Amino acid sequence: MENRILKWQKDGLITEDASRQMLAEIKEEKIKLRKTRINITIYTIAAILLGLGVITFISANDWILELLNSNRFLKIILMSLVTFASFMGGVKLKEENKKFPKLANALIVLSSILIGATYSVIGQIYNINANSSLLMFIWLLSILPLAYIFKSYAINVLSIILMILTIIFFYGELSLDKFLVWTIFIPVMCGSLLYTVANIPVVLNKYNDFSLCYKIVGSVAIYFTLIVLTCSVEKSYQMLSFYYLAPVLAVIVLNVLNYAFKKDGKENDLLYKESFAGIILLSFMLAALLAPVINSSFVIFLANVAIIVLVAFGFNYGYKFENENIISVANWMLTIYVAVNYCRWGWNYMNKSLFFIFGGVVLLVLGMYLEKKKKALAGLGKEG
Amino acid sequence: MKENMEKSAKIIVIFWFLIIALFTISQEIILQKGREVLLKTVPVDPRDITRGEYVNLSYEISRLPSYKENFHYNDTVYAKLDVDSKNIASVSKFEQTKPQLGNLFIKGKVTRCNGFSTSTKDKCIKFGIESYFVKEGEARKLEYALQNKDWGYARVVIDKNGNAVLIGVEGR
Repeated sequence: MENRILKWQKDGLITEDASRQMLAEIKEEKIKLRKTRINITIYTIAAILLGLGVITFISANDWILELLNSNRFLKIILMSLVTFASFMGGVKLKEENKKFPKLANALIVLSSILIGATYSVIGQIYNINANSSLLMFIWLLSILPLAYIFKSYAINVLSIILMILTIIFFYGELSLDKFLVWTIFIPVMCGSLLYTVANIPVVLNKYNDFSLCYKIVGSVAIYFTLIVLTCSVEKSYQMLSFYYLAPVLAVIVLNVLNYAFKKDGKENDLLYKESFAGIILLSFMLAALLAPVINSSFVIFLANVAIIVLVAFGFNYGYKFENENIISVANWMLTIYVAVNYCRWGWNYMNKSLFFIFGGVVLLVLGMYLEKKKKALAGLGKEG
Repeated sequence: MKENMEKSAKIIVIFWFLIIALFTISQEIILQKGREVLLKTVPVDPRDITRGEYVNLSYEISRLPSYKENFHYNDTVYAKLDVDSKNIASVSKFEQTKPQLGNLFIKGKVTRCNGFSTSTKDKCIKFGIESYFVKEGEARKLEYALQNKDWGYARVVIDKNGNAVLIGVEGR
């Protein structure tokens, strides 16, 4: 920007005074931005440290707590009060006293950690089984409104982690029929659920940033499952259980509802395509769970098609909305896909020197092409 | 806008309070109304990601007899209990339907004894009282003590619906 201002001055488009003033303002703005970033970092680290401190203090179950243990309600009441105080303090600071907005956000983030710690305390006091999915689920339910109302990125990330942990712990508590529950079923369910939640019209229209975060994590989970599927497929899944079939059906229904209740708009055209792709993917998942025998070549073919569609989606979405993060994720997905397939097939059927030289050249060309496209987009963004 | 946010914040606090209250009261009801018994136990091990150290317990009544083939994974199972003069409970019968009121029984779920085992005969029962939380550094000591004595006893309170709360562990 500074170079451009100097060029404008040189071309006579602006006066020297105007140029000097603009440069001074840019400098001031940069300093302000740096200070704000430092503040955000300090407050966020402080909130995380405080949260971790409380959790480890509780985990330690130590002598100070023995005092509180004399009456088991004391510990719960104390934790609840600290949590509510942190939350309401954050809300008040945010709304009434606008002097410390970053501190307010940090307190709200802290309360989202403390509410989980409070549930853990109850679990600890009553010896409720460890790593419980119920505990993770109610923690998730408790912080989701916070993520959306206060538009907090940190709480949003925590909600994604909790959603994934809930699913993992839930299936961990069940008796698994097959090992592929972990390699295929859970990643697809986590990915689809995150993607579908992100596409709920209210979420999509009002909280687009959160949607994007959910979608990127969801896509990565589905992508790696598809990569596994392109390499190895079991002959039969046949997981004919309510616990496997019902969630797939539920997410399909949610996708249909997302589409049915969509509002017209540029971004919602994409929702149509995504819901449709989600329904197709989950229908195949359902068919695979029900079918007694699976045609491995067919599944491998479908997995390859699905990866190509996913990567194409990524590039399409990234360039359409001029979002560099999505383009980077799509770049990585394409590179890993090309590398996996090249290593898999090339190593067996090619001369070894040719394998390395050809592979290097292909990746180099691909990298240059993608870099060029991304730079063009970045340039476009700067000009805008 | 400001009023909306305050309203949302109040609703969130009430929601949190309700969850905490429900969670606590449901456990308290079992403790207050249930009957206390001792169950023979064998410790297994380590650490919960949010709650610290605990001893993972397995009970003598946790293993489903191999002839009970009509029990499937994730089925609910009711273990009818007999209590001796020392208040030590042992299973008299495993049932799939809820026993009539007046009987002492504990509710559980059929699971694999070993999470990744592929054997269809490998069946155990989880009663939701398999984790005993202890002070940091004491889990190993307790495990060692219990293993040296071959087994210990878990002090458990069971309500009329078969829900149980673990309140303590002691040696033989």
